[in-house]
Amino acid sequence: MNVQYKKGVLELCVLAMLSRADRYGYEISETLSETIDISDGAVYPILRKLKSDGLVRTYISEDSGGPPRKYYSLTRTGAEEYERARGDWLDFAAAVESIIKGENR
Amino acid sequence: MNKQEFMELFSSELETLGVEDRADIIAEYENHFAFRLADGYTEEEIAARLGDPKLLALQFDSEPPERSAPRRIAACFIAALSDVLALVLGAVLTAWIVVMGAISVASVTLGFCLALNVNVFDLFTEVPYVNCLLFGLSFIFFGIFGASCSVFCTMYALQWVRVYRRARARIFSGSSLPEKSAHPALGRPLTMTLSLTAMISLAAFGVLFIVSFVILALHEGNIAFWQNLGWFN
Repeated sequence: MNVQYKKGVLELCVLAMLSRADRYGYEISETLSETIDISDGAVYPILRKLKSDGLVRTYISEDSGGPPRKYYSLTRTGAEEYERARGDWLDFAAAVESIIKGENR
Repeated sequence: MNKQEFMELFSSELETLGVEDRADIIAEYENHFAFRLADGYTEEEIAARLGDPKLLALQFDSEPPERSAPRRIAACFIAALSDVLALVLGAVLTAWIVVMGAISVASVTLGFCLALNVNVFDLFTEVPYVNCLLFGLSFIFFGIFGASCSVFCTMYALQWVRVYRRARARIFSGSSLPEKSAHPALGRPLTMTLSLTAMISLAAFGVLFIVSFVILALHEGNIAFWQNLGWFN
């Protein structure tokens, strides 16, 4: 699939994952590279962009006795943006599906 | 390519591109290696799955353009200009809300004085009590109308402050922060209550005022009854 095309959708996927729970970078990278065919490294630039846009923030947590991990969580702006982007995507997907299935004519 | 080769190539590429927070980015990839190694992958496999370090570094280069000095100065200039405008508008809006609030309070006070027949400082001339009561009630309703309008205006003003702060942040980050809605999220029940209160009280004011006017005009036998009563003299 086209790389640029994926990139926009990946942001939405990252926001969706973070809307359910705070996660560390590797966790997001692993989940997305397993389900969508992207290189393992591609998620980190997206996380960084989301952070510089103020949609996510990071914090360090040392739970479960392991080494400290950098967690990502949605900011309020991020949650708003997620709701908006999610709605856009669902509308778009529904429109594409109805055209593909020939429901319009 | 093993881990060391990958990381060296990657970090030198980041440096060439002048990406900020390199240590932070590199730490994230070091972590990635650590997690994958713990899962039993070899360094070569991990590096291959991460992708080409040069292409990867390029993806960190698409940072906001605010770093360049001219853009920052332009952003400051625009922000300062819009601050002045926003301050003036804010002052006008605040003044309007204060005036509206004051008129409401005065109106309600006047209404109660009339309705309870309290003639403070001998301000009112003698009129039949029915008219005092009707005029009084109409003024009270007018006050309620003014008060609900001020509450509505205040809420819009507060929302506009939030909108403005978001817009200002957008100027500086030059990026894709979502815009805020210009309408406050009041919730349906509150909006309904407020607009219903405003409409009912405005209607009540109009009806009571006209009824009282007609009664007084009939009573004095003069449509300009205030001439008979010696008002505004």
